[in-house]
Amino acid sequence: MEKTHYATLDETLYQQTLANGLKVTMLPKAGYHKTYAVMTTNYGSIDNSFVPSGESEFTEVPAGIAHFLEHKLFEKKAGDIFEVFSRNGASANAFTSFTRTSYLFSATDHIKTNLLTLLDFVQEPYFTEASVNKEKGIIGQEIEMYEDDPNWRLFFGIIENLYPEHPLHEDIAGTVDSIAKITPEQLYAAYRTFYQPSNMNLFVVGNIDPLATLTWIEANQNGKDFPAAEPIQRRFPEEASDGSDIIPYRMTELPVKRGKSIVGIKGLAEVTADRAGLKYRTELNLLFDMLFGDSSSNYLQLYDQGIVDDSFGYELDVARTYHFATLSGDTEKPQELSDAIIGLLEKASENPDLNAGRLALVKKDALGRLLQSMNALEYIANTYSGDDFGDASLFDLVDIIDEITLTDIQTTLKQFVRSKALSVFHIQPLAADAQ
Amino acid sequence: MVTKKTLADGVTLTILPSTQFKTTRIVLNFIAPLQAETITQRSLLASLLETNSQDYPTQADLAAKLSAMYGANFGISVNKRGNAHIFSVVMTLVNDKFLPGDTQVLAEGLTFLKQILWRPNATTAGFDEATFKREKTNMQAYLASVYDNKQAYASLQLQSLYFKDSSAQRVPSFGNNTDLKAITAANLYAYYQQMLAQDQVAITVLGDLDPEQVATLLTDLPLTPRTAVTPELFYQQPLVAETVVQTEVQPTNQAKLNLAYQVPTYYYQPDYYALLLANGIFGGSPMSLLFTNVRERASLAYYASSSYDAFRGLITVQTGIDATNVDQVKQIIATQLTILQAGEFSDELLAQTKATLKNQYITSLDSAGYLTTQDLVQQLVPRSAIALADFMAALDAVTKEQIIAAAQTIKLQAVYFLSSEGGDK
Repeated sequence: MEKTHYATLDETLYQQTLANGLKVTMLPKAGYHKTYAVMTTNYGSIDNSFVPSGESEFTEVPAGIAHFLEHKLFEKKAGDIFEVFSRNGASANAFTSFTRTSYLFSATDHIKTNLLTLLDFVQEPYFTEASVNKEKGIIGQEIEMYEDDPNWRLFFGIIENLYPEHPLHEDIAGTVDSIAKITPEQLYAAYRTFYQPSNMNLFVVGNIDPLATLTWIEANQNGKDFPAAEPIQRRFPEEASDGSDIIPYRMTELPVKRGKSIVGIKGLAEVTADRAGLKYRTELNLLFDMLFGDSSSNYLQLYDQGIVDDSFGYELDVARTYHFATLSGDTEKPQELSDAIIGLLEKASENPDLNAGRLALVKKDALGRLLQSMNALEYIANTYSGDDFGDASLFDLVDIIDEITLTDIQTTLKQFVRSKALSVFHIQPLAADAQ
Repeated sequence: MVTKKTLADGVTLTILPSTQFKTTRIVLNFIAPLQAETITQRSLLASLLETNSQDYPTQADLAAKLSAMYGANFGISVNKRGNAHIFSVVMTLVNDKFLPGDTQVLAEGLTFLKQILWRPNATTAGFDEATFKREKTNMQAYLASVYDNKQAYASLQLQSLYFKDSSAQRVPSFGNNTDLKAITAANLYAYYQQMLAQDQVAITVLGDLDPEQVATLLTDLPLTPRTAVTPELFYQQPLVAETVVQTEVQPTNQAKLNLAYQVPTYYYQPDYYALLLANGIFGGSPMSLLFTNVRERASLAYYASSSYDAFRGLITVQTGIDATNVDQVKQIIATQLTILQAGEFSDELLAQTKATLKNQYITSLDSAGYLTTQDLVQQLVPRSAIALADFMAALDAVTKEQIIAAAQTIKLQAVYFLSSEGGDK
């Protein structure tokens, strides 16, 4: 087992890739009562065109199938897996993102039993016509709930603008119509393809003894037969490399009292799944902190002019096949907000907030927040399993933050922020709700 | 060992030593009786004090100071706890031992808090006009936008329906527009002086630190003696004979059905454990009666749950459904309560609920935020300060008969339905 100590963070990571390809990572945390484990497959809502395991032709499956599979994995012939976990005092859950599906539990007792339950339920699919049909009503309500969430609508509004071709523009849960088409056979095909142990990782953090824990996991995995690992073939539609397929602007009206405005920036260059990719993401984070963070003069001006308020923020997502940034806020004047942001972005390289002093400040801030995040077991595990940077992970950020120079920030700015890669989406109140 | 000190009459300090976290968490709680008139004032004060101060005249200056202290986290929250209002100033700092050289953010952080609270951006005439206007406008906009989050909106509408005779409980913890209109830079500043001088203060510090150093640094705060007027913490209201019902229509995709039930049992009173379990079995977990029957069996909802407010004697149920199914869902919810009250739930479900509540309790001990809040609550309700083993034993000792008896005290009082015009689309 590989053991790595990170001196500044004062954390030690233990790692072992098992014979079947499952990558196991453990982080013992002294003083904690709970253990949190998350099992993740490198498979998410965008993976709807692939060659099913054992076949040779590409197949297309309905949008929302990865998330549907996540729901259905909890149901077994013998009943609901939630019951097994709760009998052992564990609280279990799962979530699906664009590129990942994760299953997790948190417990303070019966850790071995709970860990084996996690491995077993994720590795033993059971889908029937009846249970699949029953889930459609539940997920239908989940979709409707998100449809009423204006922030979700804003986010997907901009994603649809930036990615008119890429399946990223489809809601993670799919639509009521797309999930109506899902069959047990499709779920099994997706399962066989993407739930191979070699496409998965397990992260365990908390009150654990790494050696004993690994022994339990290995014994469990050695007791199961898995088909030989197969390379996974996914397919994505062609996108315009210069961003010319981006929809520059759309808007919608919703039953809200306040409007919302969002600016999206699509990354047009490819980001590698390695340490360089993680460094690139970190540079983008620091860049946005310098330009638009609470301590920037840009934010102060926009705030004092009443263009933004506390609801303003920015997000960054760098993952398999895509990366983008969004800046958004609640406002009575969505146009004014997006115009101001675009104005700043287009002249960003000359912005006075991009200076060495501010870089030093946001680096200090980033290092402090990284240290604080080491208190949050869920955050550590989910970030580690959700990121896609090869052997590099959040534990390498101390060194990466330290390395980044103002020149790196300027280079990354030029590469990322291009006029053709920008788009805007607005939400306005329905006439009846306007104040 | 936990250190407890009285810094002045009505001002307490608790130091909770722990090596578990990489941070130090400092919380200053200002406690006052919950009054309708002051809720909005306290909420606006939180925004103003978070924005700037004499030493940090712009919010960029203030944010830069936090970044310079290695991303220190600073914020003010306002909460209701039964009949008390808690204004909590919270700061989280990385422990100095993890920082380069002889960086001392703990001492810096405490100085920062003193500057923020006792040197606000104000003159004797009142708060800085420009800052005040901006924050008042932002708060107006925020209050209007509560309507936009339909789950939160439905929950607030249910509360205003249930608390129809208590203006203090009806006003949301973040305030309301009517009260906001009357607030000026001058009268808010006057209220702030009164709050600083009269509110009961409970300070809690958690982390790996030298208690003497912290106590010395905190003695420096200008907290004068005050009379701690502890109100009767638990809120009670009479039962209504007939359930209050309200329906509202909005053009949304999903309808929201929220129900309020009264219970006569409060935090750590003798029947508290039985009621915790009753609520857990009813709708407190993924194995609960509500989750199993509304969601898993009938496929009518994605979420269907209940929660228990032990300071106000209130259980609420919330679910998001198709508007056309509302009668069926109401029927299922009523049936589940009847099943609970008749004790027609399995021993297995009872055992699972006990295990889940224990796990939740122990898990919360891993949260610095929970531990500092727990210290405050234990000061407000001393009998809740019990050992972990005693909590476990008390939960284990609850019998099915006790749960049935507790469940029979749950009385439906109010139903709020946010219907959707497009419900049958």
